[in-house]
Amino acid sequence: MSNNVSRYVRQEIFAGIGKDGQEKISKGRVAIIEMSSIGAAVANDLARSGVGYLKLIDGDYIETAELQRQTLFTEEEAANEVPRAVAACEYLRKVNSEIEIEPVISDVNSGTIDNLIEDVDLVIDATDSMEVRLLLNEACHHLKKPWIYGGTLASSGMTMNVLPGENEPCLKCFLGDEQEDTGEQPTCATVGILNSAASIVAALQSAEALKILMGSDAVRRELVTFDVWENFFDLVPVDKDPNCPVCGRRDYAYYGKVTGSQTATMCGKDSVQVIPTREVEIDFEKYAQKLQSQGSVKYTQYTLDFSDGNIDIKLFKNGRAIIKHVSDEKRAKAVYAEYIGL
Amino acid sequence: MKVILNQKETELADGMNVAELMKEQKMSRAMVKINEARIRPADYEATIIQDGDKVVLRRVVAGG
Repeated sequence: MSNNVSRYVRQEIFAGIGKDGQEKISKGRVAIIEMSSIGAAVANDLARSGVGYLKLIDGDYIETAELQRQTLFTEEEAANEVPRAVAACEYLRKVNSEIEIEPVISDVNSGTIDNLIEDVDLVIDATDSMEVRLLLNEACHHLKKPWIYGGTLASSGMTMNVLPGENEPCLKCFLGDEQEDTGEQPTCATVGILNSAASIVAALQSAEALKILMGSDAVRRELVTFDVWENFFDLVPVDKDPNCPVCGRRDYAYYGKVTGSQTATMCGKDSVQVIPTREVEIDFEKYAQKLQSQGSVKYTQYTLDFSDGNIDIKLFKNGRAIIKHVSDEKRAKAVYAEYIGL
Repeated sequence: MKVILNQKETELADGMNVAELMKEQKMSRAMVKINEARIRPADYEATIIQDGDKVVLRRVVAGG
């Protein structure tokens, strides 16, 4: 192909986009929450489509068990436990050097969400936490930002555009309240995830992202639900719930709430994440000196790893830590207090 | 009573409502349709499933 031909020519001649649409896409700013199986695939699609700015937000690192479905990462990166946002960014910068890609190693919570999403036009949900989704729903409602819900489990997936507007339903309109007494809910650790299901969710989110950035009339209004193993695919209209606490009454349960230190058991891992009350800037060299008498320590520019033979701690620059081989959140907090002391 | 639940003929207790079905299926959140009409969460308890209904019950998935 001639060097004078736009790299996006096949996208530009597509009737739904055209050169004007491509121009709008190139000016678009998108945040993707988590470089999960869905997030990595969406980031790949949108980088190749020429979205002008991508913010890849993820607080975790690559593990070998994720290579089955995370399309941007390698065995070497898993062996080195590279932060997922960093690895994704490095790969995608080689794919498209004409756009801006920013990796952000961060947890998404009520204390961080404004900074993470206020400077983008659109947010893509690729998280594995329903609590984060509910927070995102409230934050985007408050900030009047569109976002795209996407979830997958086993062989199934769901996605829905959540658009700002008086008459537009939000995610809470669809979800309602959680039903009680339904027992332990399945997770990827108990029922697995097919990479094909994640890819379909990502593909649907990517297409909708382009439409939203362009202001297209083709933006989908329905929820998509499917199962690749059961051969089920459906488009379901979701209407606004007039009694919705979020988009009806602005009664936010998560957004703007002050929190103390937080813990969260990590989906599919024998680990608990601990987030300190306040964000700090950790000096890894000082911490390494402090910890080396108690176990083995190594650090990179992104993380410090400590092990005393029983528990492992991965500490991030902002004081957040992933405590491995602990059974519960209370124990994780105790370990954090003992070794990190924030 | 007999219904078509997710494309399969299924026996359910007479008079079961949607909330009870979700509890039986161990689903805390779901997309629910009965005879092609989506049932809102606020209506789960009040919606009684009838003999011969076509019910679609898909768990809301939260994995990434």
